[in-house]
Formats: sequence, structure tokens, C-alpha cells
Amino acid sequence: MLGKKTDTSGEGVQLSLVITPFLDVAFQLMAFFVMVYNPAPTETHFDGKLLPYAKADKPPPPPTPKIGNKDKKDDEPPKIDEEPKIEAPKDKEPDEKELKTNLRIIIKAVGEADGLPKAKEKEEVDIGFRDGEPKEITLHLPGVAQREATAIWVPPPPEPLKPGDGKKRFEQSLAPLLTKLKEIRDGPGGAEVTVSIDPAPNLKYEYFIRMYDVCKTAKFKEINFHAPQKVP
Amino acid sequence: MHGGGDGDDNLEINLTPLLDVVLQLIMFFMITVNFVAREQFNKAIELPKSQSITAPIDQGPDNFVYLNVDKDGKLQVRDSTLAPDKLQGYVERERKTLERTAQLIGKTGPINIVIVLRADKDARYHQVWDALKACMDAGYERWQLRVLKDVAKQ
Repeated sequence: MLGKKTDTSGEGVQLSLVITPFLDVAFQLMAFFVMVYNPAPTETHFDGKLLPYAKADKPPPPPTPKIGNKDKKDDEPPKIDEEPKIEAPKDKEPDEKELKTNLRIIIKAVGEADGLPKAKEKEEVDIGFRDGEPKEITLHLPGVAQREATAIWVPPPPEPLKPGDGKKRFEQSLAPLLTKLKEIRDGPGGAEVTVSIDPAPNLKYEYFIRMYDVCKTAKFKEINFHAPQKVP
Repeated sequence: MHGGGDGDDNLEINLTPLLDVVLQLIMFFMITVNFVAREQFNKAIELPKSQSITAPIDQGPDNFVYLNVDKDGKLQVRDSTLAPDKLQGYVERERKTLERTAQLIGKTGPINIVIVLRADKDARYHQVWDALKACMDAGYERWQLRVLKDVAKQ
């Protein structure tokens, strides 16, 4: 890169490449990139399709919409979901097809209804569960009557609990849940089973995603999630 | 920089290795630099982790509309907070703008626009649901729920 002094005619002509500006620019570029450098997060996503509401010609009241991940082709007609809420009205039972093919996972969460104070940021609470943490997971299995729920995790007997116990117990309950889901998936008619996740409105999103994760791990093709029952 | 003395003794610092290293560093940063809008990478949003998803982000759709839900359930779009009742109008406007832009650059046929929801792990389910429902009402068909890869457990 650098030239040398060369003596051509006795007057000593200096032919050297001046690299100082080049170095300056190179360092400026480097400083710029060091400042804006931001390592890409290991972000990924669940994807799915939004199912539209029932068309206007359907009788009121509008059905509870649900949002699912079913991979549908674009030329498929839009799916209209008229599935009842989990607390089905007494005069309306879920239809037979739904009972046979739909597995519903209900997640209840601790909230103000339980008489607990709302947990604030960095606030230690002397009870095991915090607002929005799950407290109960039950399944309504395909082919079983709507009211017959299989408990995967039920509230423990009253005992002194430490902060964080709710999360720990939730994590522990995921293993038996996954085993059960795989049993259903690999059992007779398992390929046709759809899963509906029905979380409590105040459930923290983190737990919802963990539940979705478990359903994905169990290799269910269609996983839907329901409208919240009521917003607190 | 040049030494004195008799004869042709040139005492110069050899800058070639320094330049090599600097250029390599520049190349590294150029390759790994990630220019994203704040709405696509809002550090205030702590995404939940997923153990089952390993695939990279699908860049197939024509365009994305980003929605961030922070831990208090507030909607963050373009560095500002959006009232929940304004969301549907916002996503409708975004869709029309993106469709017009696509037409201007000569794209024909339906434009595939996907809602990207980046919700904090402490946001509540009904807040996430409300955001998706507003998008559903605005005519969007596909969504992506962004999560972090739980590399430690995979």
C-alpha cells in the first residue's frame, strides 16, 4: 500500500500513497456500525388465520368468534364459527360434531374475584398466586359431555404458599397435560380433533403462549382460541 | 514517522494488518447490522418464550402491520400509544395505504398483509384478544404472534 521514496533524478521525488483519509473514513464507518449495532433477537412467531364473524344474514345475537391457526387455502370459503361459549346456555347444548371432535382446554386464572389484591410490579405478595397467574386447567375431551371436565390441575388445598408457586405448579402441570394431549392425538380419530384454548380474560399472555406451545408440541393441526368470557 | 540518518533507512509503521482488521470489522458490522423500526423491535416489550417453534420469521407476506401491546395492555404503534377504540380505524388506514403503495409500484392481485402482534408476556389475554378482534373486524386475514425462541430448553 505504501510507496517508497524513490530517487529518480537526484532531486528525491516522493511517491507514496497517502492512506490517512482512507483510514479516517474506515474508522468513522466502524464507529458508526459499532453505535448502531444491535444483535438481532431470536424472534419467531406462531401464525394463523383470522376467522371472520358470521355474515349479516345470520340471526342475532352474533356468535362468539374464535381465532384459529388452521392453515386454510385462500380459495376456501370463510369459516363461520358459531361455537357456544364454555358456559353454554342451559337451553343450548353443543352440537354432536363439536363434542366429538373438539377438545377444549380451559384455563382459569387468579384475579380480583378470588379476593386477592392485584399484584403490582416488583411487589411481593404473601400468597402463592398472583393476579393473572393460572390456577386451574381442565379439559373437555372430545366425545364427552360438555359438563364432564377432566381436571389436569386443580387448586391445591389451602396452605401457606410462597410467591412464584403458581408459576411453578403451572409448569409442573404441563407435562401431564402434554401426555394427555398426545394420547388423544394418537388415539382413534385423533387427527380430526381440533383444540380450543379457553383462557380466563385476565390470564397473563405468557401462560396462554405456553399452553399454545404445548398444543403445538402435541402436533395438533388446528388450534383455536376463544373470546374471553368477560372482561374484568 | 520517518527515521533520520544516513542512507535509505525507512522506518515506517506497517499499517497493512491494521487496515485488514478494520476492513474486516466493517464488513462484519455491515453484514450483521439490523436496521429495524422501533415498532418492530420495541425493547419495552418483553415477549413470551416458545419452546416448540424453531422456524425463522416468515418474510413471505407482501407487508406487515406491527402492533405492540405493553405489559399494561396499552397499544403501541409508531412510537405512540393508541386508544383501543382507535385501533380498528388505524389498521384499516394502514391496510389501505399499503394496498395503494403496492398498486403504485405495479403489483396486481390481492396484497397479502399480515398483522404482527408483539405482546408483552405480562399483558392479559383479553387485551391480546381485543387487538386481534379489531384486526379481524378491519378485514385482516392472517396474524403472527411474535415470541422468543427459548434456546435454552430446545
